[in-house]
Amino acid sequence: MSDDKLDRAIKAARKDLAPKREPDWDAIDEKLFARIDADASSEESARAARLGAGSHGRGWSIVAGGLALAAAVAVYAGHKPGGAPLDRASAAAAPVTASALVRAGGAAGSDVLIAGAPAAAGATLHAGEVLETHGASALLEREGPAPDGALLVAWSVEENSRVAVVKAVGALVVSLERGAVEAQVTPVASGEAFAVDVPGAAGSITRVAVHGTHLRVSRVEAAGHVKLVVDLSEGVVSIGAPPRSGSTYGALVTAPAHVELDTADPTSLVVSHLPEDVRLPVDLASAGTGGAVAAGSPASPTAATATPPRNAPAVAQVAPRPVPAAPRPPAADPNAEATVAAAVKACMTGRTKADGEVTVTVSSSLEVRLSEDGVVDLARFSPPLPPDVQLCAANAIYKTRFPRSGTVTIDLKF
Amino acid sequence: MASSYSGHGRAGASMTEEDSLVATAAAGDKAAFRALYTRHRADVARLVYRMLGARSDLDDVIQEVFFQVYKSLKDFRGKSKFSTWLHRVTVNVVLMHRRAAKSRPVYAEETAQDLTPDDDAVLPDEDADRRARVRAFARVLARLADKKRVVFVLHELEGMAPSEIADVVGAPVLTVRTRLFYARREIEEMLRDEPSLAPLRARFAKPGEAVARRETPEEGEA
Repeated sequence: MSDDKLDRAIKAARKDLAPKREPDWDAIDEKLFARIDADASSEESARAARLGAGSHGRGWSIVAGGLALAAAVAVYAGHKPGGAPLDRASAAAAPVTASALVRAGGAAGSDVLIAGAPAAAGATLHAGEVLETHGASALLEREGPAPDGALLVAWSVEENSRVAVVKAVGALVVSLERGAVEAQVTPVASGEAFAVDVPGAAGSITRVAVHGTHLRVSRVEAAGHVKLVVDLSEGVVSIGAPPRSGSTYGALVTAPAHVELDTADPTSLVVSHLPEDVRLPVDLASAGTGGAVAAGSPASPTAATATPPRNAPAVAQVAPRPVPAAPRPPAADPNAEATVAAAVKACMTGRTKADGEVTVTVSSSLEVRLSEDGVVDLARFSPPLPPDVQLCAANAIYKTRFPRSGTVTIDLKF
Repeated sequence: MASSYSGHGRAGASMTEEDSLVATAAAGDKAAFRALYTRHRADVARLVYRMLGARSDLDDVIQEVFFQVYKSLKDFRGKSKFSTWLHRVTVNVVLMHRRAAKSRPVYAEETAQDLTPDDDAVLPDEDADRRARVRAFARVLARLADKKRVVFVLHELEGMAPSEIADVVGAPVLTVRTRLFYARREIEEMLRDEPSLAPLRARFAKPGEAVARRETPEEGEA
């Protein structure tokens, strides 16, 4: 093909290679401007909270809250029924409730602030808002839709912490900007129910996503580094980069586990499955309906993760639950790799069926990090498999004991 | 997206008006931002389409582009044209999207599933031929390395000058020209292997010239 002919082919492509259908501008408009409004609201809240925190006075907090409210009023002042698209965007940005504050507790002079304003039991936290605790802690609950209204997530924000609600539709996603949160999450059939984003020092974000579990996540900042600490007493979590959409792919960790990660270095993940290393969980679901949570917690989140004993709960001094011991490891399986591969394949059943001339093949690699006694510390699929398959496989993987230590890579193709 | 290069930009857009809109939007005026969005969204949609092909998540990518524009507009210093800066944001979002997609598991049927429904509709022959050509060209583009694809799409399909592309990709003009040269050469090679483009080649072939001609001397030339 000569240059001339290539040019003609390109000219034809220039004409042809354009969308023949208009994008769904209404849907794009709605989502885009809802995101923008949520982002603006979040920034406003953060500014108000900074103003309140900087003044060390409740009076300033109230003023800041008033400013935030005034800003909100200013945004909605432009709303005219039946008006321009801007109005529709504002309407679409009606705040989505993320959780209700069940209890806020602490010594005199302590505060729980939502969007920069002092909050008490009964207050609601919305998408885009920031919750900040000063000398107090907060217990929140997220319930499913009426009429059942089942408890989906009970979560607490420990003293001197700061969280922003990133997403409240579907999964509840919060950004832990300071301190620690603990959560008891009702398992969901698919997808993720709760996730905690931990921002690193250099703008990176690490997500801890759960499908149904009990965990505590803390953000520890020291010497310019941000360390993510997870204490997992039940279930499985996925730790990795937040996806643009869908579920989080990352390292799968099963309970009991104490996990530490330097957010600047994804390879620094250290996992201990010793129950004594895992912080004692608090029964948050019961605490919301009668237990005492978060009243004058003496320990700071950072101290709790930095000094022994690790497993003393900081959020509440009541109802700590024992960490279930890991099941006794079975005898070493001489064909552990084949056993694991078969288990993964079983989890993929139904996803690789052939249809007519199309044959679906799946190719991935499973890296398994083993302890000295051949027990699985950590498993990671590369490229990742669908989250439900990974969870299904994790149960089998962690029950398998290898006849060696170190790292094993298992190629999967079926 | 731009008024200075051929064919695809808005005709007659006043730079003063555009500058004013940009400044107002950067100051936080949502109505001004919406005006910019309305003005440029079709151009962004076309560029995203050309870089990603007909995928079901195009709307998400377009939305992400404008969200990033909203977030970054305060950092726009006006050293380049707004349209150039918008191209840069679009290209970056598309590349990030492709990288994220690469880290997901790939199933054999994913590409077919991701095509928008009307791509598989029964169409008149001519339209079907055109669809086949579009798909073939999109396949060829998708096989190019990111850096080469970006400059190829911006220059050959969007009509941008290499100097402006240099601003978009943050590389010297000479590098842009080199990437363009190799992109064209690779596309030339790949087009020979695309059966769907045989009719196109035949149409462009001069009378008496062979169509399937991998063995002809001309094909060996860069």
